[in-house]
Amino acid sequence: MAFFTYIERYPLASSAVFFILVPLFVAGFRYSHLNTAFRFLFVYLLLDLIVGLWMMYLAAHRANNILLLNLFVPLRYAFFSGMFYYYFRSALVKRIIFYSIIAFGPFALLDIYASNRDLTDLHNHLVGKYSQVVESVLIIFWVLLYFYEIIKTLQVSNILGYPFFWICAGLLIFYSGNIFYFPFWYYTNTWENKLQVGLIDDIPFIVELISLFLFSIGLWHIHSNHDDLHS
Amino acid sequence: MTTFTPEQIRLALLIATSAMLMMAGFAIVFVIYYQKKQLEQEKKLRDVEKNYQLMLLETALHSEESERRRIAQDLHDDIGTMLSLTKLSLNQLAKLIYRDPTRKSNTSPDAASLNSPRAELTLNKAHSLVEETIVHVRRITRDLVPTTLDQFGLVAAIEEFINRMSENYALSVHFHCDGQEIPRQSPRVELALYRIMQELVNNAIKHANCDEIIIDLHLEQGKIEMQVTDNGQGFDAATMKTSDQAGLGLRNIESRLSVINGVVKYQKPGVRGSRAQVQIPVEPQSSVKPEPLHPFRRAAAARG
Repeated sequence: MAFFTYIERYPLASSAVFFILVPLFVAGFRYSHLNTAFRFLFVYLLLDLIVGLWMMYLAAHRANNILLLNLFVPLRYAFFSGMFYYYFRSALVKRIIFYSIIAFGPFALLDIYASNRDLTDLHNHLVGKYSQVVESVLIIFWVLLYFYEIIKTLQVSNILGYPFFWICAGLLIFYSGNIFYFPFWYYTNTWENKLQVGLIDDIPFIVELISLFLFSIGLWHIHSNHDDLHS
Repeated sequence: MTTFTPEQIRLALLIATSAMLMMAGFAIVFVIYYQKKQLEQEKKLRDVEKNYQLMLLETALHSEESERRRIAQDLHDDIGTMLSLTKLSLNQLAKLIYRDPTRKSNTSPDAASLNSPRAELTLNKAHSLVEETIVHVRRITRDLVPTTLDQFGLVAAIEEFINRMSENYALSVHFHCDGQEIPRQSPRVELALYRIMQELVNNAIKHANCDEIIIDLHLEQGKIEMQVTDNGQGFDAATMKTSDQAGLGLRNIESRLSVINGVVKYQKPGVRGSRAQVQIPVEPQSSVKPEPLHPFRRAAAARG
């Protein structure tokens, strides 16, 4: 009952979670054609839905759900940058992405530790101060670098029909919309929230909805030979 | 230390996020626009290169035809004339030997040897050799420049070619065509088709070990289709094209077709044999009078 009350009270936040079903359904529909990178996306969407629903459930029962978010951040980075690992051609970039995934996990855990003086106090658990900002900077960098590669190599003949372009566009919108907002989560996501940012609170959900929509377009464009850049 | 009010923070956040989202949107639109523009430019460049290659090819083919024409003209005007004069001289010599009564009564050893049957035989042999050479020169000239093509069109030229083939080779060549159906094409198209037919028939004779060739010329969905089928040993076009020497003729056919927007397909009609299927779009004959292919007429026009 509390769950449905939460949905009623926070329709935008809830719809951002339920909208994950759209790209997930499309990915499932095209599952046989998904390459490794897109299978990463599929697993990410599945986990995102589970974590989202779990967080909603906890929020509905007035329990702190931030620990889930904190733990999900390094996973999210691993999945997204893992996709780029498969799409970049340069061995150097691939190596940097690989090391960044390895380094980001401990960094995020360290950030959780540094942002929470008492880790045992789960009721007052806070969002990591830096991990999401660093994640945003890194993903935006990979997206822009990939865009540069597309322009430079000119190997994609129809960019609007190229699935990974839409994924990149979704990621760019999601992280650009959140990059300035993430640092405030540490201060706004508390039981006694002294910093009210009003309508701006809805921005993460809006950009998440847009990015999920763009992911869906990308997944819809997948067919048997979508890795053929000229398709 | 300056402290910010929630209102100021909200405004700063809104501005920063909006700016960032606008930049993201701009980056996405820029990538789409720039990539499309770059591709268009690359396509244009490729088209220019392709056109240039075609132009080079067309010029090469044109030069080849001009050279054929020049050789044919030289053969006719110089060697042909000289051979005719030689034949005339031999005729006069024969008259002098056999009909001059003063020579009959001449008892000198030289005159006696001239009147001998051996001399008569040698003269006849020289005469027939010269006649044979004249026939050969005429044939070579005709092969070099198909005058019938210019005057009567592709169908007549192919028919004439087949007649000549039947005289020289022990194989049957059949030609199926509804002459009324095929419209006259521009000289370069007709010449290209004729040369392709020549190449295909020659290939069949040289390599296929066949005893029957069928040439089929017809209209097919707004295209002129020419099929050359033989009952020989057949060949694999893909393998043949990669071969340096053997594939030269096939590559030559493709080069000629690329200039007139044509295509060629090679098939195996049955257990034995091969079929080349050439298709070119029907192109109405231009109103400009084509350059005469006949070397003699051209020479006459030049003199006039």
